[in-house]
Amino acid sequence: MRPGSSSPALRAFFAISLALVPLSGWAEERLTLVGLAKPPQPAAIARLLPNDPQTALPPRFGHPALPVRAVIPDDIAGPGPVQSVGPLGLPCEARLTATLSQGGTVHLRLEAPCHPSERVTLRHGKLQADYFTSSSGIIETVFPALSEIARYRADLRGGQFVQTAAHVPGAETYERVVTMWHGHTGLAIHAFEYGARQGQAGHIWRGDPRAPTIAEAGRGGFLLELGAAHPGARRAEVYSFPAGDAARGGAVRISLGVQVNTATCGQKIEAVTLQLGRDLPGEPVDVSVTMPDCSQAGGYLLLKNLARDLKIAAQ
Amino acid sequence: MRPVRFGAAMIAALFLCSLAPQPAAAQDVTLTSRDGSFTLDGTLTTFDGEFYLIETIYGPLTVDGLGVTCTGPGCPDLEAFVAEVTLSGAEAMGSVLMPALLEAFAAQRGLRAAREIRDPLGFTYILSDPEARPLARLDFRLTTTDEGFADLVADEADVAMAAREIRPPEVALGREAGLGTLSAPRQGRIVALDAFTAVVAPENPVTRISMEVLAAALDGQIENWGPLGGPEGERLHLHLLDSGLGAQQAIEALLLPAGGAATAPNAVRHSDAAALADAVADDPFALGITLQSAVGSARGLALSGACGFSVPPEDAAIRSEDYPLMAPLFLYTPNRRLPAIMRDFLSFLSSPAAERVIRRAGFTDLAARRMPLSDQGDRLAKAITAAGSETTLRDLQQMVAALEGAERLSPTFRFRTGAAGLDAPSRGNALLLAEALEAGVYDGQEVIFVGFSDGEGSAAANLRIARTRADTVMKAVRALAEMADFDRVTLRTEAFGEAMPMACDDTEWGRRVNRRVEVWVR
Repeated sequence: MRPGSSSPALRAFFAISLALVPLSGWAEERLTLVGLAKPPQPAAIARLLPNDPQTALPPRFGHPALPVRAVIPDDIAGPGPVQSVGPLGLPCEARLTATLSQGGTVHLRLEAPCHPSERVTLRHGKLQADYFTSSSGIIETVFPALSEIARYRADLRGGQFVQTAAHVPGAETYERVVTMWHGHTGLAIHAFEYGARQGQAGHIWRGDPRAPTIAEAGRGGFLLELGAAHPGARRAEVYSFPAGDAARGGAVRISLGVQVNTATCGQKIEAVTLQLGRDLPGEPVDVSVTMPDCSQAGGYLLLKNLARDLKIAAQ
Repeated sequence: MRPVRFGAAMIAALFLCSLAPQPAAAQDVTLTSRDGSFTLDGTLTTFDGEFYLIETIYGPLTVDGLGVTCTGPGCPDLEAFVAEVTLSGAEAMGSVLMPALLEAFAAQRGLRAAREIRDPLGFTYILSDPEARPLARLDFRLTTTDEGFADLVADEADVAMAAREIRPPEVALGREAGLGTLSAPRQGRIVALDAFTAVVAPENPVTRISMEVLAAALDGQIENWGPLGGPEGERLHLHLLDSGLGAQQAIEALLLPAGGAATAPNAVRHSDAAALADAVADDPFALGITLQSAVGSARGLALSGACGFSVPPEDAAIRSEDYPLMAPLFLYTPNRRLPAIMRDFLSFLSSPAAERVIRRAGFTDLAARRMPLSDQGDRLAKAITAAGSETTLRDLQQMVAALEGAERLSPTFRFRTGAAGLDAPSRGNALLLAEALEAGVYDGQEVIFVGFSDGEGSAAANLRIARTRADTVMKAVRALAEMADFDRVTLRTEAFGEAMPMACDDTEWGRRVNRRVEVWVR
């Protein structure tokens, strides 16, 4: 049984020992994080214990194929009402885990048995997106790691939050373009790698996002869509290019696009853009785009110079 | 800045016109000095966030807002003041470079930058403080250099973005419009350097091209790859920018005889430099001329001369302008006071933080780099090869001894063709070097202005000309560095005439590259 299913105190202990043993380089970072946790009160521990210790957690989704170099289960309960047991009889306490995945990403899993079918905001640095938990209170998704020590936080209803962190070697060798928005329409990223044209193999966008494995092999970039396709949700797109081990020098031209349709024509589209990489300030810029009028519905507005092109040096 | 006008002031002015002699009624503001010893009544014309311009019985007066308090119906709301600035001109400058610099400026000042896009060629940046209070609106109009100057003269813009130097007729128009002397160093400044580059696909075997062959390809005289050292008989696909773009006009002015040849009729035209480079990268038989900042996945060719010199379109050669096809990027401002935040932004442009942003955006910044004598091995080898009856081995030994232990600074001074005056980038360099001297960057060191000439004419005459040029540049820099302490830094000149050429003397551009004053520091 994993340490997490017993008690927060035990779990904190395991987290610290995990952090101290193999990962001394960033143990301090990790300890600070744990240190934020409120020490559990004896009463709270009693309350959090499952009625029947044999009611184990459902089997976890394993990822045996992935090179798991660091697994840090951790959860820090924020303030807020804590219900003892969820609808399935599981302990209410939420937990967030980040498992190292490929292409500078992590696999995030939130277990929040007492928050079924609820909106949750996942945050990582300046990046944030809204998701909805399953009927058993679970979210699983892939999230980029923008820094080598990557912290993630899930904000639940009622001001409660859980956090975790992962050590992602090489996360900072990626050049990244991020767009974030609220609701249905935002700015879609179109990356044209090494002179690729619209629709060709090197044109990466949500219609052809490619997989992080491509980047892991140093063969090109990939696009992640974050957030739930829901009118009120915060969503994002992240394009990542492995500039740290690009076999070829050249450029990735970045355009941002919006479909001109009856819902968007004549409207103002609002989004935030962010570019991260070597020497980049990484400051978010609020962008608003006045869309063409409705006579142009059916077209596609592609903005060339809104995001900077990536200049790639062969490594 | 488009002045902010105040309703009260306008109404008061109208009142004055219709009901003649009642000046007291028109006095809508009273400015009182902080100690109360002095008051000034008048009608507020404009307020730029810092200075009041008021119409008084003494005529129009500009009063520093810090020294006075304003009372009366015409007083502006100091808290709600939003500076407004319009920047108009070259897309080559406004599309990537200026937004990158503005965003970095905002980040450094802890301001939030928001960008509103009206259409592909027009956008506005709103800079706000951490409390979300807007401080400035900067309107960008991306057109052409010509239109940027026209907007400046018509008072439709406060800053012109230019991909070429201002021309004398434009300076004259500016003077007539009361903008001052736009060509003066404090009104026209180079923000970054770009260069024109001949590009081919990465798999194309050609690595260098001579200026003559490039010019012949541009005007359509060469139509296949043979003369370029490529596959004989293979048709050359020429890619050029649209003829209406300032960059294309500039490259034609640099390569083709004045008022002469037309460009190749069969060339594929592109509306922007990046699209051109991408198309060339895709076609092994393509040759294009684009901007170095947009080369992307294509490969730039070195420029070569018949005598064996070649200059690659790389940062070091562009920085020292040893690369001949330069495309400096300018900002021109009128001689009136711009809002404080805009003046801050303009001084940010020459800060180390801006240098990083400029490089990151793919341009070359103006920072002086030190290049030790040992990095000049190639030049010395060429000089030794070229040594002969006029330049003796002894001359070269003297030169090496004189520069021993010194480092060359990247800024290099060059002269306008057929004129004694410095060219535009060199005037900018003089100003930057003067500022560095004032800041004490070279204190305790010796700054040597080293004159070189081309090889036309006798070596003795060339040495004399080189010495005169070095002296001219040193005096110009000394005059600009008013605040420098010349007890702490020594300025002196050296001249070596035609001894160390950078390019071949058989062409005008080669001679122009060779006529130079270098700056060495020890």
